[in-house]
Amino acid sequence: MWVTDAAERLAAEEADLVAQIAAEDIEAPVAELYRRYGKRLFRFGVQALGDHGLAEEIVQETFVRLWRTAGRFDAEKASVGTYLYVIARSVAADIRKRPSSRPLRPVEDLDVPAQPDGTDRILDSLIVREALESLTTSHAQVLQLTQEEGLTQSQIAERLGVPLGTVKTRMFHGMRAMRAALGERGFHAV
Amino acid sequence: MPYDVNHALEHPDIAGWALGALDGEDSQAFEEHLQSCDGCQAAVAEFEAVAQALKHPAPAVEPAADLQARTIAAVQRAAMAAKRPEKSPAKASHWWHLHWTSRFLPALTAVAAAAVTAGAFLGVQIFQAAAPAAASYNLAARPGQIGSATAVARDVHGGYEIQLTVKDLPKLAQGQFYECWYKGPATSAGQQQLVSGGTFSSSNGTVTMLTAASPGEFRVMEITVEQPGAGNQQGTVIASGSAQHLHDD
Repeated sequence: MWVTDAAERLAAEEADLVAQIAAEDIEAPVAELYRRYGKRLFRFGVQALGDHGLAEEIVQETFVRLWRTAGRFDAEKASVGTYLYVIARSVAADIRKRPSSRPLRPVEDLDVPAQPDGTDRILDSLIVREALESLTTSHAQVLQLTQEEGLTQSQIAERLGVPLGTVKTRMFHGMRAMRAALGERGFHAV
Repeated sequence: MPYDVNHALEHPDIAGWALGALDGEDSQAFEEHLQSCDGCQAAVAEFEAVAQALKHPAPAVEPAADLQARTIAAVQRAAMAAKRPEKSPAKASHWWHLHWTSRFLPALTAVAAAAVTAGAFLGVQIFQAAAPAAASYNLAARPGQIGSATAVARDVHGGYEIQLTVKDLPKLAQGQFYECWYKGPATSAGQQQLVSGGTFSSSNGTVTMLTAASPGEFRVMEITVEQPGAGNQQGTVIASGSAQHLHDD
């Protein structure tokens, strides 16, 4: 696990946002935490339950429960991000138990199949996606072409119409940027 | 131990090696170099962890643009419900009005600006004459539409909580959502009075929403399919029904 000073500053900042919510100042801190975690929580919901509507419900209910328990949040025990995922996992479990939580669309229509719990694995995959999205297009592109399509460097060069040396350079800097982006997000290296 | 960046910069094939993306000759050459280079071995170890992580990115699905506004509104509704005073209609009306205009409105503006503005204006009139009331609704699919819904509107001291159960509503396209509306009589200027009861996205299930509109005055309930950014009612009405069994709590 890579822990940076930036991550520690972020944790303190987010703990302060939760304290604001506990003090009933809702709109701005919830908006800020949504900006930081909303997409990730939504993607967690889609992966956990396989449905966009239920994923939206997870996001909304997670923040409602955050507000309800904000006064009891202890930054010494967990980061806000971890706390939100503990809540989201609990919400997902509640939705699974609900009679109406059956898939709302035929399985073949779903973009993403519902995953068994495996929360840690889901969270890691969400962080990887976010880190990938934080890279420049040219860096992300070469990494994705090799990982998703299995292309070699010369095949990537041909596909993009750039010199092989350019692909090598982009791949190197892309990997460095990816490593830094994962570290900033507290990724647990496998 | 962290790798030496300056050394790694001299051997950019470290990344291609870790990703398994080097072509035959480059791969062979780097493998030979790697045997005797501690610096590259350290860098490869770190890059391989990144390459391993890259094998499992989550799908790049995006939440609806208005989910943030709906999430903030959901938290504010919960907070308002928790703060609601004990049975005291006069105070409750004042409280609801205060919060509707000063706190609830800003969060909903992004979702339904026009409807909420209308709701705030109407809210003054509604609460001046507010009387505890409850109603039930059976909403039937409009011609060409599918699905059905039932709803119960309950006076919760200054506002109305709607418990809406929907069944087999038409499938939403990406980014769309359902919206529940209270429809009142036309104004003297001939304008249709509409107040949003809330938005939701499940085609089956039960949702709870809050609205300022009294079912005594806004007797028709409608469900529409809306797009983000449309504050007033612009979408297709898929189901509607009128208040029944209107009675005092």
